[in-house]
Amino acid sequence: MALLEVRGLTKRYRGLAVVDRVNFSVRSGEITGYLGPNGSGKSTTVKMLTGLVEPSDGQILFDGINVRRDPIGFKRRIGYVPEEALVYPSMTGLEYLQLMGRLREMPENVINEKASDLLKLFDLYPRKHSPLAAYSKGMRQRILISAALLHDPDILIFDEPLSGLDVSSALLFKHLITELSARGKIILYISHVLEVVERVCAKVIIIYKGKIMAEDKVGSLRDLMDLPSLEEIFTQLVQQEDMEIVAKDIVQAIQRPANSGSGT
Amino acid sequence: MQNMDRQFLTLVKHFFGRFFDKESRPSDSDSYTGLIQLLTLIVLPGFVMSFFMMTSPGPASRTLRRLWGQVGDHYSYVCYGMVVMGMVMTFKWDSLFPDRRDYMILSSLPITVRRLFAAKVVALAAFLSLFVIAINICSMFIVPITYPNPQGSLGWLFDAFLAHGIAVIGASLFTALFFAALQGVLINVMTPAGFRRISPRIQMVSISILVMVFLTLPLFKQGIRPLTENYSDGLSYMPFIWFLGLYESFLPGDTRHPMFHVWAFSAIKAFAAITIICVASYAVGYRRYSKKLLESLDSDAIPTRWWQAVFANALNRTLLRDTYQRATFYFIGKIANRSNKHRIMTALYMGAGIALAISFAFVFNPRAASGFPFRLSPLGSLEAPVMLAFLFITGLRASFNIPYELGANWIFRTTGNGETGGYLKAVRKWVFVCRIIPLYIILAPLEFTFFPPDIAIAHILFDLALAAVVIELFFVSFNKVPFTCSYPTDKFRLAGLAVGYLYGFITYVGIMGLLKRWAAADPRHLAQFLVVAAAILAAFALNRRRKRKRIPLVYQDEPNTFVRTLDLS
Repeated sequence: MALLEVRGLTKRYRGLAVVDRVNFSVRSGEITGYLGPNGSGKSTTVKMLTGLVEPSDGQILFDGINVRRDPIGFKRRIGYVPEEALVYPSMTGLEYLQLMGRLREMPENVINEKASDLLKLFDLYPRKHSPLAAYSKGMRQRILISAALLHDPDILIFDEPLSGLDVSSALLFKHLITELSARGKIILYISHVLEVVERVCAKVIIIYKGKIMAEDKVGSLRDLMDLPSLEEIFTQLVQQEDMEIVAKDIVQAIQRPANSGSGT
Repeated sequence: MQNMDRQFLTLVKHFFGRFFDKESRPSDSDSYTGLIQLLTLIVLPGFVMSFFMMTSPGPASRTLRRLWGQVGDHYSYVCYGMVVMGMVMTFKWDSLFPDRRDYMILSSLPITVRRLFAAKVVALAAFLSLFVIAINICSMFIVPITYPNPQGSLGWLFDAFLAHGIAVIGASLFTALFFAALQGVLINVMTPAGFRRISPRIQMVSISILVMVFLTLPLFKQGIRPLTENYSDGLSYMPFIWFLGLYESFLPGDTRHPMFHVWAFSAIKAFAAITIICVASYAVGYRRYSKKLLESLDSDAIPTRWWQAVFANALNRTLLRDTYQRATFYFIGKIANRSNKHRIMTALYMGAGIALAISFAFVFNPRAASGFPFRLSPLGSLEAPVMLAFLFITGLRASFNIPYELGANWIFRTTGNGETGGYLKAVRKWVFVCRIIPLYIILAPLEFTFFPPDIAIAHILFDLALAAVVIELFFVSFNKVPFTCSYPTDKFRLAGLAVGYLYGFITYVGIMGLLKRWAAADPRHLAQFLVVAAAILAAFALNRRRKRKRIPLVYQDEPNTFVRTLDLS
C-alpha cells in the first residue's frame, strides 16, 4: 500500500515560519482532507508537495523514500489541481491537454484518445477548439481536473477543486474522487467547504498558523471533541473570534453616519 | 532520451508560441497570422529604405559630400535595426524569463528547472533570430548593390555585403543582448517585488528613448559629419555610432575618418562585454528568479506616501468636492500608472512628442563655430511645448479609449446619479492636473534658461491656457469613464482620422507658434489671449451644463455607422 508522508516540513519566509514542522501521512485508497483558514499554510504545504516551492526544512517521503532523491520521478506520479485556475488563455482546451500530455512524455495517440475522452466526459468536447480565455471559471476548472488526471497519477492533490463548478459538475467530482480512492489513489483534498470534506474524506488534517491542530478520522474527532459536526470542530480549533460578534460589528460599521472624511 | 528530447522540443515550441500570445496580436487572428503580419511590418521599412537608396540619383556634385551622405544612410540602417530590436525586447520584457504563469503551471510537471530555463533560452534565441533576420534581410541584399563598385568585382561586392551584414546584425543583436543583460542584472541585484516595480518604468523610458532616437534620425544624420570632423566626445558614448564605425571600417575602400576605427573597436568591446554580462547574469539568475517569483507574491504592497496623501487631501478640498469626481479622478490615476498597455501607449506618445519637440526646436547649422552643428530655432522653440501638450492630450484621449478589465466596469454601470457631469469633469481635471501641469513644471527651467523671465512666464501662461482649451475641444464628445468602454474596431475611420490628425497637427502647431510669439511680445496681447481662452472655456461649460442630463455615459462603442462590411467572406 503506497504511502505519502510528510515529516517536519517547514517553510520560512524572511525567518517567519508559515508552515512549521508539519507531520502527516496519506495512504492509498484514502481521501484526506486538509483544512485551515486563509493564510494557515495549506497552499504552501501543497506547493512544497508539488515542487513549486522548496521546503526550508523537513522531508517528503513516498513509499518511505525521500522524494528529493528523484524529484522528477515523484512529479511524474502527481496530478495537481491548483487553487488558482491559472491556464494559458490563448490555448484551446484540447491544446492545453495536449501540452500537458507531451510535457508528461505520454505517447501522442494516448494523449489524443485520453484528451478526447476526458473532454467528452467533462462536457467540454463541443468547446474543445475554443480558447481557454472564452471558458467560464467552471469550465477552466474542469480542464484543470482533466489535465491532472490525464496521466493516471498515483497521487492526486486537489486545492479547492469545486471552485466555480456548477451543482452537477460538483456532484460528478465527488463521485469521481470516491471512485479514484477506491482504485487505490492517494488523494489530498484541500477545501473550505466543510460539508463536502465531511462527506467524502476518510480523514482530516486541520492546520492553523502553520501548525497541525488535529489529524484523525472525522468520526473519531467528533467523538473526541464531543461535537456534532466538522464545522463545529473546525470552529473550536481555529476560530479565535466569535463570528456572531464580528458580524454585528460589520453591520455597525456600515451603518455609521457619514462624516467629512476624504481618501484616495 | 527520445522522450526527453520530445519534452524539450514541446517546451521550446510552447515558449516560442507564447511570444505571440494575444497581447501581441489582434484577438481574431491565430498566433501565426499575427506573426506574419508583424514580420511584414518590420521587413517593409527596410525594403522601402533600400529601394529608395537604389533609385537615388547617381553621383552627387561632390564626391566627399556623397560619401558622407552614404555614411548617413548607413547610420539609418544601423539605427533602424537597433530601434526595432529595442522595441521588440521592450514589448517582450515580461517574456524574457519564464513568467509566473509558466512556473505555476509547469513546475509541478516532471521537468527540471534547468531544462525549463534552457528551453526558454532556445525559444528566445529563435524569436530574436527571426526578428534580426526580418529587420535586416532586405537591406543586406539590396544596399551593397547600390555602392559604386570601382573594379566591378564580386569580391568587392561580397566585402560590402559583409560590412553591411556585420554592422546591422551586430547592432540588432547588441540591442537584444543589452536588454536581456539589463534584465538579468536587475533580477540578480533586486528583490522580486522591486524588480516588478521597476520593470514598467524601464519599459516606458526605453520606449520613449527608442521612439525619440528614431524620429530624430533625419536631424541627427545631418550632424554626423561636422560632429565627427570636430572629434566630438559625445559621439563616443552612443552605441549607434559604434556600429556605424564598424560599418565604415569593414566597408571596402578608404575609410572616411579615423574616428570610425575607434568606434568600431568600441562596438567590438561593447558587444563582447554585453554578451558576457548577459550569459553570466542569466546563468546566475535563473534559479534565484524562479524561486523568488513563486515565493514573494504577497509582498507587492503599494503604500501611499505622505506627500501623496497631502496632495490628495488638498485636491479633495478644492478641485474634487464631488464624490463621483473623486472616484473617477483616482481611478484614472491608478490605471494609467499601473496598466502595462496604457503605460506603453503613453511612452510611445511621449517618445514621439519629445522627438518632434527636439526636431522643431533645433535646426541644422553646419557653420556653427562651437562645433555643435545645431542651433535653437526661434519659432520652433515656441512651437515645441505647444506640440508636446497637444500630443499628450491626444495620446491620453486615445489611451482612455482602450479598456482595462472591461468586465469590471459594472461598478460604474451600477452606481451614479444619472448625471455624467462629475465623471467627465474629473477626466478633464485629471488630464490638466496630472499631465499638463507636470509637463510645464518640467519645461519651466528650459523656458527660463532660453528666455527672459517675463517672456518665459508669458509663454507658460499662454501654453497652460491653450492646453485647457485643447482639453475641452478634444473631450467635448468623450462620454466615457476612461478605460471602461469597449474598443472601437472600425479601422478605416481611424486611418482617416490619422491623416486628418497629421494635417491638422502641423497646421495647428504652426499657427499656435505664431500666436504665442504675438502674445508674448506684449502683456496686453497676452491678456487679450487669456480673455478669449476664458470665454471659450465658459462657452464649453455652458454647453455641457445644458446637455448634462441628456447624454448618458457610454460603455460600448457603436460601430462606425457610415462604413459597413458585408461579411461576404
